[in-house]
Amino acid sequence: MDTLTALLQGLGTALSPEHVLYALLGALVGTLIGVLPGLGPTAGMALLVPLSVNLDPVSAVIMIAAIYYGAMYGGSTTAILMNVPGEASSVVTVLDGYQMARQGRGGSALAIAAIGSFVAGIMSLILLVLLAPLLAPLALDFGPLELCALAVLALTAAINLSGPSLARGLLSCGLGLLIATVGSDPVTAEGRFTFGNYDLLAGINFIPVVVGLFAISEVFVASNSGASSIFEGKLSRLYPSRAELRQSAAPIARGSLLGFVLGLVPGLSPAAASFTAYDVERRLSKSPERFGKGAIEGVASPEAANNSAVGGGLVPLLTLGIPTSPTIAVLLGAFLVHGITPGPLIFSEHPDVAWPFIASMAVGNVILVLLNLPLVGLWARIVSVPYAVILPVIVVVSFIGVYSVNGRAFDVVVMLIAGLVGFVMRSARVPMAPLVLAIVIAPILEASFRQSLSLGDGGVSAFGSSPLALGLLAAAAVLLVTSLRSRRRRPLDPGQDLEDDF
Amino acid sequence: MSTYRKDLGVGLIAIAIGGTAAILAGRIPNLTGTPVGPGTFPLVIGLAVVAAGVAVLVSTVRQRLAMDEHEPSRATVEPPRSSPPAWTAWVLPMTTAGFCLLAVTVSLDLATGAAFAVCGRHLGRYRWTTCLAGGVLAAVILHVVFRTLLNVTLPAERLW
Repeated sequence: MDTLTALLQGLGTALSPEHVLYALLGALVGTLIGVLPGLGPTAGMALLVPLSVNLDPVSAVIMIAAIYYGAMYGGSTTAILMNVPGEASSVVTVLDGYQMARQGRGGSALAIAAIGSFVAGIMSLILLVLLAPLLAPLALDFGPLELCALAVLALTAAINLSGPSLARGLLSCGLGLLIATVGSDPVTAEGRFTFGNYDLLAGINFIPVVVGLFAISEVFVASNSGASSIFEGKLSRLYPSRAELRQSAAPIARGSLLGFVLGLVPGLSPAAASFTAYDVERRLSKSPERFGKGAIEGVASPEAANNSAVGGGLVPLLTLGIPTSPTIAVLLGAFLVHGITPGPLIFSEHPDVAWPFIASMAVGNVILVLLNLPLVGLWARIVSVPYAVILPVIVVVSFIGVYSVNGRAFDVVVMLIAGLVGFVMRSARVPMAPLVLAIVIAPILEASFRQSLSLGDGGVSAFGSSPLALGLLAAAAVLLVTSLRSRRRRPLDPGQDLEDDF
Repeated sequence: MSTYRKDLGVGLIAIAIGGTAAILAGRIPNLTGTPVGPGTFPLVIGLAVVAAGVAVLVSTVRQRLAMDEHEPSRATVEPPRSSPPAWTAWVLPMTTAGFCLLAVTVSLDLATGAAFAVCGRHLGRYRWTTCLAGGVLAAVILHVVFRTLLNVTLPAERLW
């Protein structure tokens, strides 16, 4: 009862005109940041934390948090309409969202993304309030062994996104991990695969690779297609039908739950949550062959999962003071700047900040849905804009997004090379999604892998000492074996068009 | 190129990349004093990529053999594809590369205008005057939004 009273009081504070205005400002700026590839939520929040110093603590954290989920939603808009994922967790939305846009159903995809994000935001808020004290210790159970096993499980889920050929998924995943190892070794600073190049010593940034693979390769594909726009027919429906809403309900609920639980795990990006949610939906579906070709569940579940992972990530932050991702770490910084240390004592020492902050998640999500749903019709028409206009927009926005992160021309070169590689991968029917998740997860996988091997004196025996790690590895093995079996029953069709693959 | 050859190519390239990575990773000195050095992880991944390449090769060959057995005509006859003239396929990739080069070395505004003009002419078949006007408008919008309002980090302008 005390919790409910405190939450209601917090809601009252969050609903004051001043705080609603800051949430609106944050949601708007966040959406703009999310739309621009490269400037993801972490960079956007980090840029704006110094500007929030002069605000009162409640307004500051409300605005910074609104930027976070605004950016998560903004990233989906360009992913669905232009095949340009604004940030890592939008990559999986591309798979079915862009296909829906190409079928003239971009409006439905956008609306479901907005609804899914909203429902997930509210569900994760409820779960945060109810389960935080129970779930927080879970985060402490994750040592290097468990983290390594969980990363393997997430990668296995990504490999399953490989369409009909598991070997191609493994290949894509391996290439992603290899790309991530280029640069200085994180422990010894020894150069790996750098060939004496100073730019390579700093490593290959994730943003140029993902923008090149998806956006630039799309430009190359369009130049061969002979089409005049992304979608050439008449836009059939701007909002989802009842059937689509019904189809999306269960995936949104499942994605929300899964995202929340995976959000609790330190180091696991929301991207891993959205990839895993997508794989779960495909496995549960009675017609998995629709996935990658415009299945609405393929948008609903990952969108819900990546938004819900935000709420999950707040549990260890607010109850233990542990940031589970770089973005949450920036949020922690926003608290610290105002002299508030998140942790077990935050609810007793700073209830005037903690509860309005939690309640503002609901307010921010309502603002986002109110902002975005009426605009769906306008956004959806982008797919009918001629290629003559939209392709240079994609190229210019991609360039700015990539260059603005570090101000390095080298990143632009990486983007172009990745575009070429993406084009070749599409032609050769090698999926790109596992490669992207592999790059995101590689640092945490490598660090935990090395620590785990060190624990076992260079062998894998240490994994035997952790039942949780063994369970996660067993789950990965089961995933792999079951998908191998299902693929044996459904062999790769060599006549399949590259559009059918992803 | 036929699908069969493409798939064989994918497998062989994967083996080459994975093998090279594994060999290079094996040569990275381990100064940590423990059995696990900076080359361990890339070595394992390189070998995994080789394994994936071999798997692609094996499945491609097996599939080919199976097809030859059941549908010999389908395995040998590739459907003809109608495609635009070869040179047009290069316009957009070359425009993209040219845009990036011009933007980094001379002027992002100029590069933006040129990219819009070329795409308008090549893809939309608009008149050159319309394309140039569109290019100028796009460059102005870009300059105002990204350089003036958002103040995003962009390459230095060397024209003005």
